[in-house]
Order: sequence, then structure tokens, then C-alpha cells
Amino acid sequence: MKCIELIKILNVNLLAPKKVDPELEVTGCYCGDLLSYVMAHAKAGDVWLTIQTHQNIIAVAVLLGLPAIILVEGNLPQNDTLLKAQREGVVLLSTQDTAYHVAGRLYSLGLGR
Amino acid sequence: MDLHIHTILSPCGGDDMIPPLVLHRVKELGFEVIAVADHNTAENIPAFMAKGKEIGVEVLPGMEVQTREDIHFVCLFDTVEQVFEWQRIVYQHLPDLKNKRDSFGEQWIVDGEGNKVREVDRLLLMGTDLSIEEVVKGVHGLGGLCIAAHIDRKAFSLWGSLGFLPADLPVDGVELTPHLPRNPDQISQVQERGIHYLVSSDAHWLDGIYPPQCFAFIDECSIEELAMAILNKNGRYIRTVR
Repeated sequence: MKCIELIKILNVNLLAPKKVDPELEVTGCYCGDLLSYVMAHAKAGDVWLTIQTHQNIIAVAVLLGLPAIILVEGNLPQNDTLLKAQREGVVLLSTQDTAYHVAGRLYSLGLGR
Repeated sequence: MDLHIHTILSPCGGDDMIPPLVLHRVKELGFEVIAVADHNTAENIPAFMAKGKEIGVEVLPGMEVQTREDIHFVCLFDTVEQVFEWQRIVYQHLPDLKNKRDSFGEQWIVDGEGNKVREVDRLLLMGTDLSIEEVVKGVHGLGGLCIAAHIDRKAFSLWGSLGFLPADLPVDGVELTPHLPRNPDQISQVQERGIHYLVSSDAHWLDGIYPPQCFAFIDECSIEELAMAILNKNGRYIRTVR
């Protein structure tokens, strides 16, 4: 699935970058808030659902090749997290929905199956 | 020294964590300095400091605060006034829930002899809404030291929650666990910061206090001297058994 499609379908706000590469692909989804655990288990191409807002989430996304992060349940990034996402080209989204709802929606769309 | 010891006030702390038992035990093991660090509270510090003076063990006032990210920091101070000022701030940021003593445990304030004085009503064992940056800034503002607790554990640790040490977080030190294997990635990140790690027991029961593993070579027991030792500055330094 293209990342821009995902942004259209889900009830999310785009926080960074200003313009998303139309060719950017997402191939799966991973949920988790313990970054050390996510680092060991998420796969490249996964969109990552989390409540963590610290800038280390951007570093983890870059390290693993996660194209997008969705901050769930209304969580908003700290300033330096936003700046880092812009600089590193990681798509940063926010939603009021829970990780359960977002993941359920993505699963029903066939992502990662 | 052992800079992370709980008391009977922590809901998860044992009934035996009262001043005479803890202080006689650490004295017998050869400790010269301990820090009392209960979860999000400092109410047992005066009793431990008074008994420490009597028995001849230096007790540093401390607290183990839990941040918004579920990360624990051991905050250390020179004086009771400082730690109580820090407690005032922490209490403002701690959700005002009542403790369920059957689920979480009892939270007793004791006197120097370990007699129960009063039970703390509010639930202490939970996260504040302070971020890690706010905690470090707040502790520094009061002249204290901020140590990332048990980074070698998955739960409630800076490393576990955030994956690695955030480069621009001015945390003063990191704590490792006596019995866990050393992680080479952690050791190298700690060395890159130019600091020496501490090893503390995080004891919740008397049996959890290990023989001394961490030594500070300093002129006197103060926050300033400890900070220099962690940074290996001016002839002050830290040594650990491993």
C-alpha cells in the first residue's frame, strides 16, 4: 500500500514532512511503546503505531526503515521529535483513534497479510 | 555505597525495610553511604537520616521518580529540604488516586526506630506526567543529581522505553543492576558520554541488599563530589566490582 493512500483512508493528521513522497510504500504494521522491544521486532516497511513521543522514535524508524509512525490516542510529538521527522523524512502522523482501531482498520484493508 | 534502596513506604517494599534493620544490615556489609529512594516520595528520608547518623552510615536523600514515558530516575540531593521541595513538585504531577493496599501494598511512614507513624493514602506506584526532560531539569534546578535507574532492565528504564540513551538528555549518570549481564552496547554508550556507571541494588527487601559493588573515591559525601566522581574529574572517580 502507498503511504499516501493510508493517509487518505485513516483518520490521521499529517505532522511531517510537508509533502509525502507519492511512491513511498508501507508493507506492514507494528504496534509497541517499548522502543528497545520495537527495535528488536518491527520489520522494514512497517507503519508503526505508538504512544511514545520522544525524538528517539524517529531514530528507531530510520534505523529499521519504518516509513511512517502514527501517534495514537491524540498524542502529539515533542518539538524536537517533529523537527527530526522533517529532517529525516520520516512520515509522522497523529490520530485520536487507539492503536487497536488503527491496526484493525489496516488489517481489514489487507496490509501485511 | 548503594545509591538506590527502598523502604517500607514503597508499596512494593518489604516490611523489613525500616531504619534500624536496613542501616544495621548495610553497616554490617561495610557500606559507608546509601541513598534512600522510594517511588515518587521522600517521606521516610528524615527517619533514615536520623538513624543513619546514630549508626554511622551516611544517608543521602533521594527519590525514584517515574516519568510520563514510564522511565525511572533516581534523584539524589544533599538536604532534606531539597528532596521535600522535589516531592512537592512530584506530588503535583502524580495522579491523585487512592492506594489499593491489597493490590499494590502498604505505604508506611515510620520513625527512626521503625514504628509505623502514618500510612500514605495516595497511590505512589505510578507514573507522573513529567517528561524525562522535565525531571532532569527539575532535579538540576534544585541542585540534585539525576541517575537513569536500572537501564539494563526492560521495564521502567531509559534504555527499555527509549531504546538507547537520548544524545541530548543531560542525565548525570546511569545505574546498572548487580546481578545482570553487562550489555556491551550500553557500556560503550556510557563510555562515550565520559561517565562511569553506578551499580545499585534497588533493594526492596533486606535480602535484596548485596555486598558493596560500587565505590566512590571522593573527599566527602556530597552531590558535587559524586558528580565529579561520575565524570572522573579532579581526581574523583567511581569503581565497580564489574
